[in-house]
Amino acid sequence: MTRVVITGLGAVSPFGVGVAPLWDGLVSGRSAVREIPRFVSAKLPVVAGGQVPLDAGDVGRDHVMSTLPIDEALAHANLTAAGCGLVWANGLDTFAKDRDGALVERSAGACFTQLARRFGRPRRMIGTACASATQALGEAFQLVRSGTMRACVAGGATVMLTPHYALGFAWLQALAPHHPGDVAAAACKPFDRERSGFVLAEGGGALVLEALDAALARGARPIAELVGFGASQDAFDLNRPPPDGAGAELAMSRALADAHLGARAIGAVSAHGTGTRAGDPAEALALGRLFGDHRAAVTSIKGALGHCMAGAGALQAVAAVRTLETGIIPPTCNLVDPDDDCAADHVIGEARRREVRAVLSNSFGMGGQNATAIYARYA
Amino acid sequence: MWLVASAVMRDLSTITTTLPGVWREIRRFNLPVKLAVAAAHHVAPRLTAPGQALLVGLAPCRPGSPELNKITRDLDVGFDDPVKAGTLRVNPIYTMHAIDNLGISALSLALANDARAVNFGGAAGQAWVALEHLLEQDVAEAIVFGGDQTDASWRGEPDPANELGVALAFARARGDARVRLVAIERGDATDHAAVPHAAHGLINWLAALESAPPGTHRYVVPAHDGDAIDQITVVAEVA
Repeated sequence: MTRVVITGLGAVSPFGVGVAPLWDGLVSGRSAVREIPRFVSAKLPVVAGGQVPLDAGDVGRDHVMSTLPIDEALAHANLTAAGCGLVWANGLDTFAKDRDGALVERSAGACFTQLARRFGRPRRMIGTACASATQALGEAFQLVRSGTMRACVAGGATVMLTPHYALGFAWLQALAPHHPGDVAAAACKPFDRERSGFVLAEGGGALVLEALDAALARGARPIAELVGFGASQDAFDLNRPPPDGAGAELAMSRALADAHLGARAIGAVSAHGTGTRAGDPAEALALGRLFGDHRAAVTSIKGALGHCMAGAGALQAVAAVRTLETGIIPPTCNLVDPDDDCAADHVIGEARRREVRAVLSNSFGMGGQNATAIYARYA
Repeated sequence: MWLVASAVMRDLSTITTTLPGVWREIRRFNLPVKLAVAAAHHVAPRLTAPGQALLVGLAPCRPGSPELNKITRDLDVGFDDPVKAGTLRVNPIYTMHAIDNLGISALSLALANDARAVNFGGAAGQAWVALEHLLEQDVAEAIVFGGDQTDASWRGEPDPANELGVALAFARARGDARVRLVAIERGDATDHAAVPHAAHGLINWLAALESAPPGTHRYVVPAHDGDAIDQITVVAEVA
């Protein structure tokens, strides 16, 4: 079967435009989450958000948020869009303000079609909520591995940092509520005893996946390898995962089987870890069963960035590849006191140096779609 | 893959009495998701093991709803009103109207299906991607389903009041099926005027198959049912 290598990375995140600011920010242990003035003025029950420092306006921001990481990844890989397929997650429709202040509905599907026009075939849009980008990467991985295409840009982006979604998700009791005296940057605390929910964020990530022989034939340098993908459905509840994390474990074990790897091969886990009361312990339990006494370092990028929803899995993938390249595992920002029911070998406080040969990356969507990808060092 | 069953749902008026369990499950969703899940419930019993089938969902191309749109606009005014701000509430049901994958969640729950699944997003032409995906997968059975909410009056578009849900069940084993999906072919399109939808294109293909004589059936997808980029042809064998 064809080996699938990664030859390009791109990112846009609350730390800024590009992979470099994302990685520097994650490794530093800082939080890019800030108070969102529009949330404050609207007196929402949440004020924190992960906003990309980018003056792109509201209308068209979805397109910019996708184009920036895609173009960075293509430039990194030294490929053109026409020579690649596209498997992409644009997230949900949004409402944006135009220059006259009118509310305009932005169709994620229309944004995808606009993006896809410059790409070769296939062109696929994935929509599995917060699992979307990891699922997009997994679907692209399988298309390249099977020989259906030679190169593909995959990932996702989201622009859901709007007061409408903030209020809506707050009433779904998913977001970290704001209390007087709270610091916005510390709002999201994955796996911590004091965690109270996630923080909405915007951003996206893109990876160029390529058949190994195609990459080598054109003189490209593989950065890492995508070696396994697994997906599952909780089939449990629309709003919450099963407390024992059974669906998550199924996705992870399927990814390991797909990669022909045992759990002991995994050096680090990029957890879904959004900071919710129900989701974090379910994931930790699943990891505990999967790894047994093996100590894989567990980190979540969401304390630092917030939750980039449809783009989150792609940003995790970018970070996972950087970990494989550098041997540095970023800490879980804002994790100070791990909860008893979230036990794992968490990376706390500062980045950890460790030779890592494989990173397992989790994304779990509202509604119970689970996706896991395994990235490995290219050798 | 053999097309072993299909169902088209045009209204939900009978669901409350004929499938009360399904209704309880889907009543909170927006209309296209309700119609799609209801259609899927009609075809699922035709599969040998629906709990292990590949579920392929199609996100509604207009995932919101008139209710979500209205409340969003009301909220937007409220956010700027110093008196109203801080008192605004939103029914979580309306937020769920925006979420594109809950149809597949509801179906997996009903079928106790924990298999790998995928939901394609609300871009034009993703219904044909769903069929391509089926052909690529090594699975015994699958359900493709989606729904359209044509009421987009909030966007200033006409409201043809033509809501639809569709579900297609496929299997490797033929059974009494008449149609086998063979391939999706793509070439460069000259007409790029696609109208995004999840269900309408598939329903038009099913209609074309009804009168198709035995032999190879090549269905050239009309531009308005396409993806605005490719000329798409669905190749099937009719027994």
